[in-house]
Amino acid sequence: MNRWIRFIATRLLYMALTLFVIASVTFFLMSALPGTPYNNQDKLTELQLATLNAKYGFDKPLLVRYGNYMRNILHGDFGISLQFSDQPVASLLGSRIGPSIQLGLQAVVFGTIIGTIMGAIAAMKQNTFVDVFCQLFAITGRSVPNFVVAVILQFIFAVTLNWLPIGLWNDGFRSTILPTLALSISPMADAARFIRTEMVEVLSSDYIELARAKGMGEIRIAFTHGLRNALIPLITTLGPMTVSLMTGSLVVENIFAIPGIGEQFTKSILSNDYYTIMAVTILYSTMLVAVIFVTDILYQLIDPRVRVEEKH
Amino acid sequence: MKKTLIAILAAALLLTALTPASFAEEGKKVLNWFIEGEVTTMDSSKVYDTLSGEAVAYFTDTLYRLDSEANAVPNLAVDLPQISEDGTVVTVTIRDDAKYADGTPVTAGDIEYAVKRAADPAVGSQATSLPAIKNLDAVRAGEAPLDELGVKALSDTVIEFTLDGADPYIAKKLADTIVAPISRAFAEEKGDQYGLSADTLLASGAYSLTNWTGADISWTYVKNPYYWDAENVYFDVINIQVVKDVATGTNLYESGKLDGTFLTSDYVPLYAGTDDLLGVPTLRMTNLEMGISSNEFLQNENIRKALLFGLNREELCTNVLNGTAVPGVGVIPDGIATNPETGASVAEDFGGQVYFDPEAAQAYFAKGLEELGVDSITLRLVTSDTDESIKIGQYLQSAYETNLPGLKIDLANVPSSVRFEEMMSYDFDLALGGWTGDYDPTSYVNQHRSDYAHNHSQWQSDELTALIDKLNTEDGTDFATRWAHLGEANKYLLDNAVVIPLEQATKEFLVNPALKGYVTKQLGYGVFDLTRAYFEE
Amino acid sequence: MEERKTQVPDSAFRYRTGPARVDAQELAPPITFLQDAWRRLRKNKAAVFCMTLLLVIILIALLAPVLAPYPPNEQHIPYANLPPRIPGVSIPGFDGTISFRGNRVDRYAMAGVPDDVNFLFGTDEFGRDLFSRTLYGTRISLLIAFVAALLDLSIGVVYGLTSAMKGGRTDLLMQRILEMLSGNPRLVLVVLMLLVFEPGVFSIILALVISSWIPMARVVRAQTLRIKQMEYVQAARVLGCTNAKIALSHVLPNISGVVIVRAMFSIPSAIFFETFLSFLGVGMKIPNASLGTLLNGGYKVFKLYPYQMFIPAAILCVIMLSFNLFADGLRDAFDPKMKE
Repeated sequence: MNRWIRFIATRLLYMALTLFVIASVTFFLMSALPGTPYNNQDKLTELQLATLNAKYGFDKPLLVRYGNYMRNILHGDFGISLQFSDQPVASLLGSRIGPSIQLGLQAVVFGTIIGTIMGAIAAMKQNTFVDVFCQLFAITGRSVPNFVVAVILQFIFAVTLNWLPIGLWNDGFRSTILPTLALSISPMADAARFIRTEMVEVLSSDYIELARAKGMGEIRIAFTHGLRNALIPLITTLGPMTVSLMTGSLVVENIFAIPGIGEQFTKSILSNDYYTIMAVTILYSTMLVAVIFVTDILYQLIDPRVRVEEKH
Repeated sequence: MKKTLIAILAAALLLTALTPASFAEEGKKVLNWFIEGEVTTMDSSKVYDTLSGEAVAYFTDTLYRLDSEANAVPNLAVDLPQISEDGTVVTVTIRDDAKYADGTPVTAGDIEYAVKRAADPAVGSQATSLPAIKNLDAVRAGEAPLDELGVKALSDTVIEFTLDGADPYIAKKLADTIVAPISRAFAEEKGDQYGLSADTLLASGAYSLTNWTGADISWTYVKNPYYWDAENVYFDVINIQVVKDVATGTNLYESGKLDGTFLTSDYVPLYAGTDDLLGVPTLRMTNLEMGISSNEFLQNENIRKALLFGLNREELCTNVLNGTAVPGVGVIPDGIATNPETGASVAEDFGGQVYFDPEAAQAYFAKGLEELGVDSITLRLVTSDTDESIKIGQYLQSAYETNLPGLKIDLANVPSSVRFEEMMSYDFDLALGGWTGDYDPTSYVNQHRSDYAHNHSQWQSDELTALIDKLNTEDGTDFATRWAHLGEANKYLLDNAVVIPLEQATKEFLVNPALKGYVTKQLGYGVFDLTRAYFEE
Repeated sequence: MEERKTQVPDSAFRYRTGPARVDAQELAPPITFLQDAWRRLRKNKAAVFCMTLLLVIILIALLAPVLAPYPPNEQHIPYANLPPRIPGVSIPGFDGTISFRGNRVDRYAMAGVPDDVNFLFGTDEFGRDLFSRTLYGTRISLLIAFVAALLDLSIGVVYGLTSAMKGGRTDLLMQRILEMLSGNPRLVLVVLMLLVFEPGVFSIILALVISSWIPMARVVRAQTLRIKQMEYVQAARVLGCTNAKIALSHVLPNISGVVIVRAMFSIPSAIFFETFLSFLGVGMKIPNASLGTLLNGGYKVFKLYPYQMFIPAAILCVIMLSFNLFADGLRDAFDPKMKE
């Protein structure tokens, strides 16, 4: 138990350190961005510019600003947005994160379930037509960018057949179907490949032969032995996959006019909205680091071979 | 294992169930409209960009409204402003039956409060649309107290503005939402939170804002029952959807989810000849600006003239921009004003100085190169990173390199703020810029006044400055003299090729043909005034 | 016990005449690891097909300056937005007609294009030949991908090897640094970098490299740690081999399969990332073409001129698919577990 506490404490410490370094690097990189955060700079007078700089504290030296910023975020103050005049960054992100999380989760869950089923079927029917089809699907899914899938889905199901909304986020679950499908292609392909490879290996091992010899049914073997063993490592990849889908979904969000965080974030970079850039970076990093942390713990719990102590 | 999966599924379904449903009620008159991006603010004192200005106008009642010919017509004001002999004191009387959305009356004191708020350095507004009110700069700099600002409510219905000098366009400037009333009692109650969400805003206009929390991509206006002209407001609900991508917008429009959307030049041919297509000319001059002070090649007049005459604007507007622009005729956009005596347009009176003449351009270019003692020159052209800017930039690069052998253009597309910064530090070669003025055509020539911050080329000329000074002061409301001086300034700028006019864009939209009664504006924030719009049944 | 010696008289032996008989054919030829892998790869028809296809695509891309009928950035404004027309082909979509509000119209006739001027992939908004642009675009995209993969390979391998061979505190430190880097959202870093530096091929490669070598370093470290435990490595160490020598002559050859496979997979992901960046509008310097900028340009007019998006999308997919299938084949070939 003691070992566990030490393990978790060390990891948390490193997480904090990681976040601190990332925040610092982003802060200085961001300060090197050309341009000012004022969108109508072409009309402002010198006087107005100076007033605004004083108001937001941009007239202070870089290091002072850095110190102030770091102190503020420790107190949970992420500053105000410059792009959205005087809106607190935290509430701004809060209003945008929901759809992104929902899409990311839905896509990962749906993609993984379908992918797992496909992979399992492919492994059981190895080297048949079904297997080839599943494999081909998996490899295509990994090769076609999700925005291409999104445009094609939109064209077929929304524009031509008119079955589903073309975009927007106001039709409940129906609005989420097409973007979820587009985003789920890559987790689906990954899961299908992963499950197939793992199951093929398990199904050809000696103990499965034994189970077969004992008269166990193929489907039961597949589920109790094959799938079970393959699923555990798969589950541990779900977290990182959700995060990467969320951070990479901005083009899909754009195509379907979804009020997610991705597109907002690129805009904040392009318009030098310093505090929003910082907040999104910290948010993304926190999610990434947290997910890696949870995955590590899951590994420790699930796989007895992985020990808490590190061996060198 | 199954349990885990079920839990995940349940979580996903729960999230789905929480998604808000659309705003649609039976029996109400609903308009589904668009806006081209998120608004930066809904606080009328802080509005500085087109989108915010457009969004704020729905729920803010202005002293005057602009009609489709950009004339000011009384709105909250009962009549046109009364202007003193010397033009510096402007008095406006407002309606006594105007009310906010909570039923409290609108007073002249609220207008005084709004103007002072916009000038208050503590509020830190980026807005630049206030008229030249007395002591404005001193108040902004914090050197004078707010009370010394030249605005004062004489009674509950009379407001008086004191200006630095006569302003012949004052009525139009008073049509801006920045001089619209803000309920002082309400704003002071909300304090810092004022304007940050729909709950902390109080409408004075035809509609109230709802469902807006700061950075939304959709929100709703509902009819304000207390509006003084509520009986002439047709729609009960206007749903606004942010549409940034033209493909998404046209999809939504065609599926009937929107009653209007914007188009880019690429999409215009698809709808040419349909009832849905609506083109609204703008009064923005898109210019090729030159960093004359920072580039020695551009200090050569022949090189600049080669650039002026070496471009086929007709091809740019017709073929590249698919007819969504007309060639620029000069520094002043056509349509902003007419000759006060003959009614002739800008193009008719000042035109003919900007044209395409490849031979002349090549001759100028060769002469310029010879004077400079070089064989070829490379110029960096900086444009914003919007689709249309990139498109024009690519055309300019190819056209100039073809028309003027020996010229190389290095294209850089950057975020707008970076382009502004390069232009404002007067350190650039070429920039795809331009000018959107206010109602006064003088602002288009004033941009090139020697000591003006936005004189990006840093062209220094006493002659031009003297002309502009006359326009700004002694010409006053003598429109005939103003017109003559404008012509002279325009001619001076083109003769010296200080700036290269390119085109005047037309904004293209798809609008439900059943929608009537809306007003399109060439100037000011937003194109559509939907206050009295209705569906033809 | 008395030893009984059987004497074989010398006369029983005969000197052999003629050439030495122990020739190589008699012994099983020594098969190196790579040859073995190649033998197995050849049996994978899909992988061989993809490899051939890739070689052809690479060759075509390299020959872009020879094959392209027009300079890629040359504008022909009157010929803007022409659909593909291939002489002698009358399939709709490749015959110069386009469906416009339900009617098929001959855009070439409308634009007054001479009969002998054909644009195989059509033209874009400036009348630039999309076939030429696609050739050059593919070339740039492949170049970016290969250079990124190569750098990714070298940085990742060196980092992983060093970390594993040094061990101890160095390893711990290097692993912590790696963890920190992997906690950094790639998109944020890359977009920021592309704005701070001038856009262009170099910036894209730099941005890709900074964020992409981490998985490679991880894989190399794990494999190296495994090999370090092997007896022959221990033996080499006892014999006084330096770390560097062990790494180069014992570890590296044994993990080369894993490394090559990993690098092969990083190529399609680099191509994907380049298109993604171009889609965001950061990356390539305008007006130069890459698959990403072509795709982005096509997406904008997708509703009007679908060919402008579908052609680069199809080429992108074919390249990605081929790399993935080929890399799959390589992995199977290098993976001893799959040995029949």
